[in-house]
Amino acid sequence: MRQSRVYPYLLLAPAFFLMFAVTLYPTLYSLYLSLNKIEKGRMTFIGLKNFQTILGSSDFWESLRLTLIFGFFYITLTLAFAFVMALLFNRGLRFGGIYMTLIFIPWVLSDIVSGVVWRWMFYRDYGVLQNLIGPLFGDKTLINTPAGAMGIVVAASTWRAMAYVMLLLLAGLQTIPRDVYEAGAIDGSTGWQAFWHLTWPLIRPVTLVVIVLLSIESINAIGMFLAITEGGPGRSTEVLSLHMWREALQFFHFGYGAALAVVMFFINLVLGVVYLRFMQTESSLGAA
Amino acid sequence: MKRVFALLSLLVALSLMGACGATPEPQTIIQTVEVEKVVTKEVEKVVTKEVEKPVEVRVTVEVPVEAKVNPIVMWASYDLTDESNPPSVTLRQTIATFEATTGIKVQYEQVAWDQLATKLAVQAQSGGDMPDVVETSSQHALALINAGALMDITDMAASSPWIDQINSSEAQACVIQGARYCVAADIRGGAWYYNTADFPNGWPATIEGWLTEGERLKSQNKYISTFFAGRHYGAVELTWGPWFYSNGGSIFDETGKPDWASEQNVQVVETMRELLARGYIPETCFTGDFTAGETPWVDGTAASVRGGSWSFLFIPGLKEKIEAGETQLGVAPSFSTGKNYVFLVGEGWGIAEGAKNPQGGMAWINFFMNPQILAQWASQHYGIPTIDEAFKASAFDSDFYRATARNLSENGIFIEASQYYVESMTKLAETLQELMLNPDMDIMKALQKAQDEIINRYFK
Repeated sequence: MRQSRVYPYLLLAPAFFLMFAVTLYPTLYSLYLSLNKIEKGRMTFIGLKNFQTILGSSDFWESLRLTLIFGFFYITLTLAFAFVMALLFNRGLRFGGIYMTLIFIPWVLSDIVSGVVWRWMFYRDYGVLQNLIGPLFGDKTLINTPAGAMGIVVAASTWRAMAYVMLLLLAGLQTIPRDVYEAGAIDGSTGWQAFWHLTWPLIRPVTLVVIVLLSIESINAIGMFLAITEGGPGRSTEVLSLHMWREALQFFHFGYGAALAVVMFFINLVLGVVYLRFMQTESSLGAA
Repeated sequence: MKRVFALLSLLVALSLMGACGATPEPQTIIQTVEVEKVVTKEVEKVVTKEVEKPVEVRVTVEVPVEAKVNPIVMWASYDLTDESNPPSVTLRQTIATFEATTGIKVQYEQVAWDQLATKLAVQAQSGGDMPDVVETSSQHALALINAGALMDITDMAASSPWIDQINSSEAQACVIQGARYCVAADIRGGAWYYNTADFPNGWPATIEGWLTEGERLKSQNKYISTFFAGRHYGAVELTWGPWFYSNGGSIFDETGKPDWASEQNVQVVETMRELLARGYIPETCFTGDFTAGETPWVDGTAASVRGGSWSFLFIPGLKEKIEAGETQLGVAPSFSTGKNYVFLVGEGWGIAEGAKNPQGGMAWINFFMNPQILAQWASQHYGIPTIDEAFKASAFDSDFYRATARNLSENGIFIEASQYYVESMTKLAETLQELMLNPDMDIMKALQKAQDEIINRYFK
């Protein structure tokens, strides 16, 4: 009896050890690091000074503002396009498999590879898209303007994430039983009414999951920014994660960089809690 | 609760960094022996890439006994298996000769050039195993010292055979606040290359000349020049810094604080805005990366390019055009002081803080700072060796090297030192990029704001 109570823990031990080694320890170490300053190789405990510096830093607030702007457009556009595509695929398309494969290509490419291609497409003298779209914006080099650079990163990120989000939404759509729509049709629901009163309520939990995933992704986004703008022009696309990367790995301010990572961690945590609240509300509504 | 735990685990997995490792015990010198050995070594001729007859390299290296016990770990950016790259071949041969001469084995690790400083700093911070000797540039020295990654080798170097032979530029590159943190094997610097056919009136050495020639070349649908002046701090080192100095401005004051908001610096930005607005220089200079800044010259739309003495290695067609006499080395445009400044950088070796075998690392540096090895190495990088005797080698017997050496010695300038060099220079580069791309921005206000931000964060 005693042996059987210990046995599950023994089985869990390797996984727990692995989790501790690769997840918990680095996190705790980062927390510790965020309370220190490293200068000339010496680590000095400075308490919450790094966080104080962060809160007083205009660079931090500017990066946070840029992250929120990026997140808003990225999440909205990705969801909108992915939703439309998921609805189309759910209705059944001719050559759907081919379209699906094509749409999935960006998702399997790395951030850096697709980002570099996007950057090239917006070079002034050689960029294909710059030459097509540039004239619509007074022949400005879009990637050289703050709004244009952010727009390009949003477009590239949306283009890349769309397929994955579409797949999640499509999976949600396909769980809706046909007879729900048939019952709606008997009650005289039109296409829009069917979407608004049947499809949307049933797919809302999946959409919430997607929103939380995209939110966390937008807070942590770095690859596309590095590959396309590197944070420029000026600091106009230096989002939080890029700001952290530069502080830690370009300026070697490891303590300050770790403090920024902790701040990002808490932002993600808040998003997670909001998501859980939503889910609980959804569950209780469903149960009622 | 399970959900909270699951979510926490997910968030935790998305975050942060960390590593662990043991800090090596310092070693003490027990005994010093002198090893003298004559070795035969093949030396490739640099410019022609033809293999010369094997030459005798007589090397005297003092190697402490305990340094011979352990191998040395070396980090450098060269692929030792690359037979087509002369510096790789030279390094491989030099390592073999070093091992044969001193009995110290070399454990070589290739690290990409742009990752060397980062990897070294991260390794130092995390307490990981440090290399004994590492390829180092004076550009990164200050940041690495701040990260505790470079060892103060003043005492070890004091008794080195090369210490009395190196020139003053080397000390400027590697001696910081009286302490030596690296040893520069060669000095490289910024260089302007122009197509002779595009400048029938000769190369304009002043900024006023640029405005005149810029107008003439524009009528031929050509930019007068192209260069990198983007948001990387290298843009300040290579492009903006020398221009500010030439106009009587500066980047850091004597205490290392930013000194950007000056009329002299504003005038330089105004002039560059004028050149850009008139279409004399391409916008790519301020927006692209290092390569993008050179592209207009490669594709023939720019009549000159600012690179470095090393540009033969990176700009396609440059070497061929120089050899054919179609392209020549010019000087940087001068501003109000009349000086044609170019940026200098020292490239060489350093010993990592926490190295297990620093004496072995020093033995490598002593071995490497031999005039014959230095000549071969420096010429393959199109740099000027830091020991003058090495510059007498036949590899440097060309108009290019004579002109380069003259240019660097007459016009070369190191950026002033600052404890927060990279942070400050990056901020300045970003601000200058914004100023160039947004002509409505007030130059003085922007420079003042950037300067104040750096001072408030780091110097108060």
